[in-house]
Amino acid sequence: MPASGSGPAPGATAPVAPPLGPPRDPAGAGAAAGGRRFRPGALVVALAVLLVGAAAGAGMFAMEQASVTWRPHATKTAAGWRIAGPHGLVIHDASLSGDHLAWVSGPYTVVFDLTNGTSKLLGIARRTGEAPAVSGEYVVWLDEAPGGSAAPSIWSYSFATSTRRRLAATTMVASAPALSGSTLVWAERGSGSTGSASGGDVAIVARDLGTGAGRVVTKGPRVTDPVVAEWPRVGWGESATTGAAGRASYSFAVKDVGSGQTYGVDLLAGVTSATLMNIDLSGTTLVWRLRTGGSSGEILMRDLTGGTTQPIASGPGLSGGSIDGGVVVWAQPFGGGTSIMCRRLSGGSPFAVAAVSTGTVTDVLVGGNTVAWIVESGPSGFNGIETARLAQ
Amino acid sequence: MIAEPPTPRRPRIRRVYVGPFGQQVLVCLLAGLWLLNVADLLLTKYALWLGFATESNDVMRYFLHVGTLTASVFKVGIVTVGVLVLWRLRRYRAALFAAVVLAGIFAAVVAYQVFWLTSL
Repeated sequence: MPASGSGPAPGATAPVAPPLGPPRDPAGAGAAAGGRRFRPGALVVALAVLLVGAAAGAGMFAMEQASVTWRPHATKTAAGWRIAGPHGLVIHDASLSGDHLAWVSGPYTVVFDLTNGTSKLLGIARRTGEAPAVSGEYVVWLDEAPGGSAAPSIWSYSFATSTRRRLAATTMVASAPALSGSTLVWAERGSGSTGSASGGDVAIVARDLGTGAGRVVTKGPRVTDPVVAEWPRVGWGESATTGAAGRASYSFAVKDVGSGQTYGVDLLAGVTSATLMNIDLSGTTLVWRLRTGGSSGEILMRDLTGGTTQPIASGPGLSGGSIDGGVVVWAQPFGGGTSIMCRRLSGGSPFAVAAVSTGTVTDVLVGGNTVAWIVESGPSGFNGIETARLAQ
Repeated sequence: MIAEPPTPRRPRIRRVYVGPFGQQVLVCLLAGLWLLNVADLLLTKYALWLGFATESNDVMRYFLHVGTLTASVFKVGIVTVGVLVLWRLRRYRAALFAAVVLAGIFAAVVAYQVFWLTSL
């Protein structure tokens, strides 16, 4: 008698246990489509994993910012701002206009908003002497193309739209760009990508950053930088020459693009030899500084529409030399320190804007009602920029 | 009588399987991983275009040097293959663990890039 129960009958095939293996997925499409409803908890868990990862990324960013950063240290003062370069880096090649100040510090090209004290990294300055230029709602600077393999080109950043872009066809740039309002001006070597100059010529090219419309202001074999702009006037240098009497000569041309009139000024007239520095243009007034042997020098100005070259200041240790809106600023030694000086072309005597007790003032700038000066005090001292508002 | 030598046993790997809920988490993580990879590609391209970033991954640097399209195809392609492999192995807990680690790393990288770019 067969035993009762659920066991297999003798001779019957015993059920074989399935081999050890993963659970079956009959639908073949995984858990989400495996006949089971999707549980929102799974999404929550996945998001939690991503959030933990994101928090780790934020932590890495915070650690990096604490150790290495391009950001300057700015403190508000009674007169304006005191801005120290990060990690004691020296600030140089600054540009000031209205509410913005741009400069090069170490490898960084930075723009600073004077209204709220915020700063923005523009790019990596891989070459020296390529000053950014700021005017109105734009700042422009010269920088290498991404990857560093191509020739440097001009970049722009719009404060209004918070957008930056590399300007096409600005390779073969021969000078730091100048900016007036939305008009960008630069010198371009022959065979430049715009085709504006050929052979050994240098062309002065102007382009409106808003519309993109460009024009060649001038070109020729003697055209050279530096380039200045106070649209519609554009100025450029012409190769220095030495006259028969051994006197140096440096012709600087300023063209009014609107009227087509061109003015020429010999910036070295009356001196045997000098180093030409700090050429600046505002309206029809040109300002420049000459260093004439040793530390002596003079700051000169000339109204392009007529008149003669007039001295603004002279003596040892002068620095700066900048003009905007009929105000000329410079720095000169005074009582063991340095005075930041200002003179209004409308009249009156020069007056001191501020005094710097320690360090060397390497440059002074004016833009609107703001004066800025760069101070170098060595590795342990203050290296940075200070600003002050001019009384109306 | 000589005893038969014992048959050497293959070491058994203890496989731990994932239930339906774990597989659903895996699906979400793989989708997130794929999207984060695309975000990483776009942010890297943008940072390189800005001019002050360099690709630190030698392999990606090579492909970026060859061309943007080539780099994009390689990066998206290799991660897609990886996602499909993990999807194929979705029943194993190791696949879920790998997805958690990879998605977390990608989230960290993308978050770092976003913070860095917005701080400029």
